[in-house]
Amino acid sequence: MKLKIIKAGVQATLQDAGRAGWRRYGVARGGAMDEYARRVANIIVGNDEREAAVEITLGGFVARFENEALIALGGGEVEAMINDDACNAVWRPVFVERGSTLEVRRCVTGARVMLAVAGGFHLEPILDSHSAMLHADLDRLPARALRGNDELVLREMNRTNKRLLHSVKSTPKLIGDKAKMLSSSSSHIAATWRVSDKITPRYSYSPVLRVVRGREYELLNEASRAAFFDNEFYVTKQTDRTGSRLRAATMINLSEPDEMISEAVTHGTLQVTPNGELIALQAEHHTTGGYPRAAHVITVDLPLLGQIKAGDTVRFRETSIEQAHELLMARERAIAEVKHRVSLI
Amino acid sequence: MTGAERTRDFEIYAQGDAALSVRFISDITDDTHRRVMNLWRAVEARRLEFVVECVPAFTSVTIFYDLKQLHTHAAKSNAAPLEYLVLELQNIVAHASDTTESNTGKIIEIPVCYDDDFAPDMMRVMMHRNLTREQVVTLHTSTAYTVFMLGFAPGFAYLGGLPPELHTPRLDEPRLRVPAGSVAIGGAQTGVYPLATAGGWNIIGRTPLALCDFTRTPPTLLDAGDTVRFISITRREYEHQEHRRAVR
Repeated sequence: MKLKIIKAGVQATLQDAGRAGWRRYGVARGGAMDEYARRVANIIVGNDEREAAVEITLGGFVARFENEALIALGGGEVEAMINDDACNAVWRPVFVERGSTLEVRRCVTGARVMLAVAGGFHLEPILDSHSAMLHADLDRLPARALRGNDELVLREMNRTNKRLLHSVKSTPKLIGDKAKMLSSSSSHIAATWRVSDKITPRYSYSPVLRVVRGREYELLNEASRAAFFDNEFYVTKQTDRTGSRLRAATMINLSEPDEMISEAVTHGTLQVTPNGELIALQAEHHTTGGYPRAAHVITVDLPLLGQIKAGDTVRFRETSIEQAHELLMARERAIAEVKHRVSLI
Repeated sequence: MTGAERTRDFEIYAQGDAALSVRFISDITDDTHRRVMNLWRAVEARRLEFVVECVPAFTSVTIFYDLKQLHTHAAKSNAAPLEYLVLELQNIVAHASDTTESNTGKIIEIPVCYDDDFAPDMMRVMMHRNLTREQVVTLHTSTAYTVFMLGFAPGFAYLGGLPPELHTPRLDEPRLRVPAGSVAIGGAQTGVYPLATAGGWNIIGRTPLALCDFTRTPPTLLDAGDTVRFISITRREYEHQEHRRAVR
């Protein structure tokens, strides 16, 4: 069973839960920019939540399913087609007929959408992971980005996959407006249920990211400390899987220059650069850094950080680590609940 | 606000909600490096379930933790997760050997060809330090270097111990792409670029060795705590060994 990539679009990569454990060798953990979308899209097609999904960036992605399949998109609003029919279904599994073509034309809110396919992908792991390693200079999958003509081999569906596929495939045929609303057509059928908005991240062109202060926040001058939480930061064109440059109307500066000794840094760290901009570290960031750290985006908001695109604006809101931990535990409970509900279908 | 605890000569602080650093208040010294290595090994030896990994740097050790696991452990002691972790670390730091333990890292010899073709910045170093080519090579190969940490790129090792006579400022304009295996000097540091990445250091040679191989575990030749010596080899010897170095 194969998924043929016809056009990879701006950038498409394979991402699973990443490769933790190798940071001390200079190897980034990597993984999905929107880890929530990757996990939940997999769960709703019956996959293990650690399964790899395709991370589609900005749009222009076209792929063909050799066999019938159950798929799901996870992320913000998208403009997508299956064959010649609109299929903007996000957060719900979709049954597609054999030979169908999926086109993700544009990621509307958010830079990326995750495509999960029931059965998962058969891939050669690199350091125990199926995630891309774009900076490793390796010309093989899953390390490199996907290209047109790539053929991804899908694994056999498990019992949960098959049960879900059958359930969605046998959704009673709807006609007229209801069918259009729920994105069904002759060649694809979307499930009538979806993951609730209440538990998905609040994707937007101007997200508010919750942060905890960094060690070097105190080194910022007074104006910068105020500006940090008052200003809107504009996402510049220098944004990719390693980091995103952010610029505010007020430059963010230290009260006096400081040469910091390099140390390990984390995904979500907001570094202050000498020219007053911030670099937000993303999934494949360099493992160590010497720039001052103003703050760190909390784990539950990393999906929002991973979804920013050039032209968006972000704001930061301060929270405590205790609160961040509670939010994370609450999200884990919500994801467990999705898993549980899916198992009852 | 960051959960910073300042005791004696180290501090413990959070880096966001999934990592904590222990940082010794010190410049980059061999002594602090030993303390970092001792602490790193002590944390690893404890095999704490909630520790995902532990990353040493020049003067610090950063612990990445799994909240779900930490939460379970902390709940047993009726403590908040962060509080529990800070206490654990303080305990480990207190008991980690402060004395200079013998280095348990490996000794690695890295063959380097210092030929002109592989050393585009050799002249720059020679002129900056008023040395002949032979003197640069002798000085570079005369020392045992300590691997302080890896970072910036997979397998890129920050080496300590570069003789002051060789210190040369970084290039004004970094190169967009330096050949894999390039041996270079940047300020007071020396290192080898394991992959073809951008680079702003002065390139004085190239090694035929593979410093990075993703088909092996560990994936890098060097690790923090190792000792490195550079050995000068001829162009002929370089070519003979080069087939060994393909990034895989």
